[in-house]
Amino acid sequence: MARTIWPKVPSSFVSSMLAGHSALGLLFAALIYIVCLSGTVLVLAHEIDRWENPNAPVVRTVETGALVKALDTGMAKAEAAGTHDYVSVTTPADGHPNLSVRFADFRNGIDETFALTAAGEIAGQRRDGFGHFMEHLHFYLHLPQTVGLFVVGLIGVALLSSVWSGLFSHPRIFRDAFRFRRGGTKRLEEADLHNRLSVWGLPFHIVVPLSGAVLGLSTFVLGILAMAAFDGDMGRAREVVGGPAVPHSDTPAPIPGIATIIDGLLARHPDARLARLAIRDFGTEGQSVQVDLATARDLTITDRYIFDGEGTFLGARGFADGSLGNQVIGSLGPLHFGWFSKGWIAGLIKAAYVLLGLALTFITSSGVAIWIARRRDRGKPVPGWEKAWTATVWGQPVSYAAIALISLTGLPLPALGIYLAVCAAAFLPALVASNLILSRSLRLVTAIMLVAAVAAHAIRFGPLPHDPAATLLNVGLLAISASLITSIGWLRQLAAGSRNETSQARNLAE
Amino acid sequence: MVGTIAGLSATLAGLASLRLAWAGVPARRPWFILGGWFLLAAASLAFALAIGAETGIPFAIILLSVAGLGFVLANRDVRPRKETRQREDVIDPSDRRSRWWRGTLRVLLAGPLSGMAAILFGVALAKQLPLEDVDAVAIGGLTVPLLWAGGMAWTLSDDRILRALAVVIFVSGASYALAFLV
Repeated sequence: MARTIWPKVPSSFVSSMLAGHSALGLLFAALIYIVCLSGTVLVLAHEIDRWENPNAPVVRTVETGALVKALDTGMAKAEAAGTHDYVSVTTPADGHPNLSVRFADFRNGIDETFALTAAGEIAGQRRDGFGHFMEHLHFYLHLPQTVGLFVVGLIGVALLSSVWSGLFSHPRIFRDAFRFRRGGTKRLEEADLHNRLSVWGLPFHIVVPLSGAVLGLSTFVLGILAMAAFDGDMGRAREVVGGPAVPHSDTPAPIPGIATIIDGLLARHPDARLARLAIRDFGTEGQSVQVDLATARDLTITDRYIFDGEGTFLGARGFADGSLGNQVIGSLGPLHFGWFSKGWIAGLIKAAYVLLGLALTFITSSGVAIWIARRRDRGKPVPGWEKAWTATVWGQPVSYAAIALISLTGLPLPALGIYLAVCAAAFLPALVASNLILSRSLRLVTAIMLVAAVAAHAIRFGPLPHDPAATLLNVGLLAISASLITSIGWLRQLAAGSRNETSQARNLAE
Repeated sequence: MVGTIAGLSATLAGLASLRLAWAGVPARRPWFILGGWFLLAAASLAFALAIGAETGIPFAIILLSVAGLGFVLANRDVRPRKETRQREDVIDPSDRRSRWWRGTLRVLLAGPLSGMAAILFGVALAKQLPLEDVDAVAIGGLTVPLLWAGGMAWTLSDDRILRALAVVIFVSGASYALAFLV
């Protein structure tokens, strides 16, 4: 191994940084772990949506007429539900070949989505029990939205802070770049993996918490920036970031010519694809039409074009061709979730995000494991904390699987209550079992629950549903389940035991 | 497609070159390091040309992360398990005197005080930089979490807690003056 060309960092500096890194990691470990794991799951949000709706019509392209019909259908549904707040049509995209219409009233919580045929007719209600739960876990930790978003933003800041202190407490960053010692002492093995995953994934580990922190703290920071830079004018700050808005009015007005808007916009942007069509406060003088156009070469994926109630173009958000600030703001979401580019490159990016997301989750988990191993090495073991951490780590996948199972079976149970109950139940075996037994038991339960979720899916939608993505996800879940069972070690021990018995029998025979 | 394949090949070749530099003959190291980084830059360029700069460069970086981890796993050194602690070449976190006032001050410094300093700095940037409104908001918005995280890392790490307090107060004061008084 080569000598480093970098100046030597004083060990006292590294010690101080490690102390800070340790304190921060331990303080926020559980929350960072939950946000990282749920975020990793949500990289596959589109695939999860397809998994929950495997028999929805697969639609590849949509004509303008079908879009207008879909929007009309959504508005009729919304009107029947007593709201004029928001209706949107989402068109088929790469990795998500479905057409759907959603109506929502953000003031009173009405929110329904329907799967559509290629002609824009309703094929049935879209299910989103599991995906919706995971979204709310990752975005808000199931707290009230404003508070939850702020807390998750703070967790992003804490994670980013851990990245900084971890980076500065790693004086052998280049010297150890390719070093991974498997075996030896537990602490060294965990530290090697922790450090290598951290260093090689560094760009991801900076971009994801940074974009998450900006998105989470956006309301808070935007409020302060507006107060300072725009003399407290929040409306202007929102317009600068989100594009022009139409003043609210309850006076009735006819719906503008949607087809004209769409065709005119697509004629001016021949390389773009219509990703979403939405109308706000429809049927009033305060209505506005929002058309999101997607261009695969843009990191921001979509730009929003906004029209008033008479179909006059008001302006765009500028994500595609606005100033640098617009484009930076527009790229935060795609960079955070790995949803950019198209075709197999987009698939590769998603796969890489899942891998790096799992790496970040593992780094969080192993950080605590290193602290536990260090305490043990110093003769100050913390067996209680060790078990608590094991229960926290493995309680999450068990609870996710439980939510998926409930969502699939359609049982009228409160998802959040079940999630909390399962998370709490993961701690119970810790009262009587050793850490090893606890870890193995929870991994086994996760594996069983995943198989049960796949079985429930097969019973409800058939073993080979219409959408192949659902089958692929089921195979993936079974593979995770198999790898969990393999990781438990009982099978390996059984296999080793049977090998020993065979060799003993052979020796006896000889 | 040709550009994408060229990018993939250059990424793997660049990593292989860095891997050779890491374990190879010292005399050739600088060449392998230079060659490795040159190939990785070429990979970014190839992806930028093939799929567009906005998506190509992030793709190149993500690919480098995943492929780099692949090289690390391939390079693993399997050893027999040891239960007892050996003399290892590791540095432990510094032992600090645990006093309640230091703990409380450290939490205040890392949380609200660093946050306040970062926000004031972001506002000062947004107000003083000669930029369009949206650019000012974007720079201010990005600066706040970056600086808050930096402040949190530093105030939790610095063994001289009063020095950390002094710097955070100074940054807050200077930023406030820049934002509201200048």
